[in-house]
Parts: sequence; C-alpha cells; structure tokens
Amino acid sequence: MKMNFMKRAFWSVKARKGKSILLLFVLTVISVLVLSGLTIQTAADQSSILAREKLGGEVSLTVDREKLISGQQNEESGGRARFQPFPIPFDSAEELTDSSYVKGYNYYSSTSALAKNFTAVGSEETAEGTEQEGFGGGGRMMAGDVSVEGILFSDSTSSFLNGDASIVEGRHLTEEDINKEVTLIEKNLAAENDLKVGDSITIANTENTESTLEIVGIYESTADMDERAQNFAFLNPYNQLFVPYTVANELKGTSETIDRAVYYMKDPADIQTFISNAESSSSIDFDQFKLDANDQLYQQMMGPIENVASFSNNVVFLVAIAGAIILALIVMMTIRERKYEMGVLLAIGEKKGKLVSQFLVEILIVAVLAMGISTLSGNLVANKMGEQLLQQEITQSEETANTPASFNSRRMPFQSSNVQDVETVNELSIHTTGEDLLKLFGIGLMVVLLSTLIPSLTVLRLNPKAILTKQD
Amino acid sequence: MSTLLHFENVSYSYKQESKLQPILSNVTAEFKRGTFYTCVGPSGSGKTTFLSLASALDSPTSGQILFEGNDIKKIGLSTFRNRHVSIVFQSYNLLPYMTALQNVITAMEITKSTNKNNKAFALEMLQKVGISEEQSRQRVLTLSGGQQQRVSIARALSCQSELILADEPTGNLDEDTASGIVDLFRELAHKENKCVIVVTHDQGLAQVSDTVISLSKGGLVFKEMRKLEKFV
Repeated sequence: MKMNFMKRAFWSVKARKGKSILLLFVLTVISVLVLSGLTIQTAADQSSILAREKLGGEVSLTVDREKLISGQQNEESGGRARFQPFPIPFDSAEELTDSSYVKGYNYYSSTSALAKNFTAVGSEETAEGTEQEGFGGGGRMMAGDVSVEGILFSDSTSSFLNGDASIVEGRHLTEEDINKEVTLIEKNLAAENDLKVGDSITIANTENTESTLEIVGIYESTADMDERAQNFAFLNPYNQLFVPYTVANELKGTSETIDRAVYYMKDPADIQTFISNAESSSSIDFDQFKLDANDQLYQQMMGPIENVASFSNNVVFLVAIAGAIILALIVMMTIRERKYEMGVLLAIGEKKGKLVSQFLVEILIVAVLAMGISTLSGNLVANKMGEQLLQQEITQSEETANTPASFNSRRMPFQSSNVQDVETVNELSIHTTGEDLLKLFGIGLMVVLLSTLIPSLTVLRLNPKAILTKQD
Repeated sequence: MSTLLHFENVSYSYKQESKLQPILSNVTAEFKRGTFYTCVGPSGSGKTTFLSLASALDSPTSGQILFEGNDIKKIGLSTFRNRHVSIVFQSYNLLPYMTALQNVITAMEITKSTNKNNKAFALEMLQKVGISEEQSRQRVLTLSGGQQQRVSIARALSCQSELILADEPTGNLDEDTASGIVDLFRELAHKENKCVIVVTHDQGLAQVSDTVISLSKGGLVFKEMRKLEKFV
C-alpha cells in the first residue's frame, strides 16, 4: 500500500507553518476545553458516588404526594384538595427485592395506638387515650398514646442504623416475626411500667380492636425529643413500639399493603440504574408511587457540583460542535485554496480518496499535537475552571439558603422536614484520568473526521483539467 | 513500430453561449512507440485539447481513444494517467510547498515508476535536465521559470511512462538547455522506445522531430519529415 499521501501531508504541515500554527491553536483550545469539561464531569461523578455512599445508598418506595395532590386538585377543580393516603401494595414492593443491585430491604407500616394495659411515657391518662387538640383547624381528635412502627427487620430501621436506637435486652425483629404478635419497646417505657422481655402489652386502635404483643426486646433511644411530644404522647420517642408490619396493618385495618419500602443498594453508584430499571420494567404505578434516593439531601449536598457538572457537560457538547464547525470551515477554505495542488496531483494520477486522506492526516498531525498540549495543561485548566465554577455555585446556593423560612410556603403540622443538616460538598477532586483522555481522543477523532470528510466531499467532484485550466 | 495510442473518430466540442463549438471532428490517428512527434498549429486550433484528450485529462465528445488497443475509459482515466502517461505542462504545475526533489519523488510515488522511492534516480533525472543537487533541495517557487520548467520535465521523465506528452516544454528555456531537452526527448523515443508528443510553436523543434502533426480547422495533418500523410 502506497502511503505517499502521508509523506505529502507531513511536508505540507511543515511548509505551511503559519496555517499549521493557527490550526494548532484552534485545536488546542477545543481540546483543552473538552478535556476540562470531561475532567470536571468525572470529578463530579466521583463526588456524586461519595455523596451517595455518605447518604447510605438507600432507595425508598413511597407515595408520590406531589403527584397525588396535584392529580386530586385537577379532579376537584375549584374545590379544596384533600390528600387521600395510598398504601403500597405488598406485591409491588416485593417485586424490587429480586434486583441484583439490592443487598437488603425493609418494609414500613406506621400507625398510632392506645395503650391498654400500660402507661405511655409523659401521658397522664391511661387506657383511654388522650383527647387533644389536633391539626385540621381547631377540631378535636383522638391521638394515640404510642406510635407503632411496623417493620420487617428492626435492625435496619433508620433509628437503629443511625445510632438513635440500640438494643439493650432481648433481640431484634426479623421477617420470621411476620404475622406474630411481638414487639420491641423502649427502655424508659419498660422501666415506667416495670416491663421486661417476655411480658406482654396490649394496644388498641380507635375502634378498640386490641392486639396483645409479647415483648421480645428492649431498646434504648437517644433520639431528640420532639417539642410537640408534650402535647402528643405518641411523638415521644420513648413511646415508639417496633412491631412486625402485619401487626401495624391489623391495627390500621389493612392487609397486604405497606406505607414505605426501603431498598439498600450493594453499591450506591447503582442507585440511578436501579431506579431506571424499576421505572422501565416493574409493574409499579409510578403515577402514584416514587422511588426516592434521599434526593432532597443529595441535592443539598451535591446541588452546586451537579450544576458545575451540567455546565461542563454543556461546555463539552457545545465546544465539540462549535469546534467541528470551525474546523470544517477552515478545512473548506483550505480545500478552496488548494484546488490547484489537487488538480496537479489528480493530473499526475493520484486517487481522490488519497487526496482526502492527505487532508485528514494533515489535520490529525496537528490534532495529535493539540491533544498532547491539552493533556499537559488540561489538569491545570480543569482545576481552575472547576474551582471557580464551584465557588460561584456555592455562593449562589448560600444566597438561596439564606432566604428566611417565612418566605417559603407554610408547612402542615406533623409534616416532617426531610432536610437534615448535611454539608454541601464544596470541593472537587479534579484529576485528569486515562478515561478522560480516551474520551478526549474519541471526541477529537470524531470532530476531525466530520470536519474533514464533509468538506472534502467536494474533492470528489473535481476534474483536473477544469482546475488546471482555471488556474492558468 | 507498434501503435501505442489510437484516436478513432474522435470529436470534441465545448459549449459557448449554449452553442456547441467543435474543436476536433472525427479525428482518426495512430501514434507509435519509438517516435518523437511534434504538434504545431495556430492558437485556438485545438493543440491543448488534443493533448488533454491524449493525456486523459478530458474525454472526447464522441469516438474512442485506445491505448495498446484498449479504450482508455475502460482502463480508467485516473489509472491511465497514473500508469501510462507523463505530462509536461506549459505552466509547470509543480507543487509549491515542495522542493524540486520532493516534486519528482511525489510523482514517482504516485505513478507506477519502477524506481519509486529512489531518491538517487530522482536526483539523476533532475541533473539530466540541468538542475543541480543544491537547486533540487530548494522550494520550487525559489527557482526561475526555466528551472521550474526543467523540474517539470524531470518529473515527467522520472515516471518512466510509455507515453510522454509535453506542452511547450522549451518555451522558457535558453537555447542550449532547450537543445539538451530536445535531445533528451529524441533519446527517449529512439533509445527507450517511448512515444513522445510535444506541442510547440518552435519550428526548430518541429524540424528535429520524426513526425510533425499540423492542426487546423478540427483536423490533424501528419507530416513525416520526408512524407506527408493526411488523416482527417
């Protein structure tokens, strides 16, 4: 195979120093920007994985309140919307437990109940419950004495996982306790009522359906006391009973449903894939339910970095397109200028394909140099760019965060705020990786191929006599 | 001597103000190996068109051009130019970003030259036409018109084609160099059995050729130095 076009390309690049330097400058700018964008994206992805790891890599299947409320508002156009609770069918929750990304799961079904044969901590009355002022505009309602947390495994509930609760006596509840009348109670509740493992307590719902539960374990809670617990005993963490979710369902008068399912990922990096797979292939109705990966907290931590990543993604996209257009224009102008040369080569008997190959090699020689320069300088530029962009984003998000709470919409009583005190990630570890360089070479090659081959198609229409005659 | 190139009822016309202007009409002619032809005629008589057709830079409007009995269209115009013909252009048509030597080597590499990549052979050809080694390493644009003409001739010679076509190859050369180039063409025809066709206005050059082809009003008149034959 004759490779004389490569030799010609090299001679041409060497002889046309001015144009080669201009092309080198353009290609270097494109390469540095693309590499910086890719590097920032990689750093943001790594931060995202770290943030997910920090947040525990759990995904909750819950009712999508926002969708339901807006749906009900639409249905009752004009009327006042009332939120109807939607329990999650047990089968739907069970479907996702087979996923290869899931290492563990837990189900939750919560309610409150009246203490029948014991006294709730901080409650003045026993057995009859407390009639107190509740939410809903000054009406009177019956609130329970104890909160009943129906679960599948007690050891993987958030209270035990985050250290707010720990077993001091007895054992945890497991899936083997499903359909059994057993419970875990808090140490203070046990002490106040002189209860121990093996004893039984009786609780009842508002319709006085009773459940007698054997105490299989006692735990100690260090959770903060809710201010509202003074008025509502069931909000006191000492009055929280852990029971199999079947017990909670019985009290609520439901079966085969749960309020919430939590799935623990083997690798937090797989959260998005898990959610996407579930949304595309499960039978869960995502008009009613949603898979939530602590998104609010994640956004709080990663918001600025995600914005930077999104910006850098746009930079890569736009620079690659703009670069391809600029290069294509330069190549087009070059081809116009070099028609005479092409006429001569065609007259000698050179193949048109080899003329196109010569242009391609010329641009590639310069592109390789440009990529070399960007490999050396990309890390520095990416660091500067990334830091500056991140600081801007952090400043902006701080300004938003400083907005007084009263400016926000009113929150309903008992509606808990999921926003916890997590620190915004304010540093990006930006290092150009081999993968970034491979991506740069891939994008570079695509840009060079497109910007050279498309304008070079005009070469295929050339006739040597016409070119040389015009030149004469 | 065997026929190398054969024009068979070749006509050529071009469009001028939506009318077809004939340049050559039904020309039939044979060009043999080992012969040095000169082609003469007034301006506009179709000398360059004739050369363009013979070198496959253009195609006839009708008729056939055969090379060793094969239609050059079937051989492929590009392949024909690449393998069987060398052209010395009136305006040199050298590649400006290359040195004289690089121009010659490039042509050798593109064509099926048996000496391809042979730098020594390229230098030898350049020296044959009076280009020194030092000049051969200069960019062609730094050479004089005459020197560029000689580089253009060296490029054609280096490709070692059976058919050599030249358009006013001695127009820019001094008398001595021109004489040397003419001797070279004769030598190529007589010693290396090539078919050399030179378009010229130079009557002196026409005098030393084996056959003079006279072009007028769309026809070719072959005037052998001792015998006149008419092919119209």
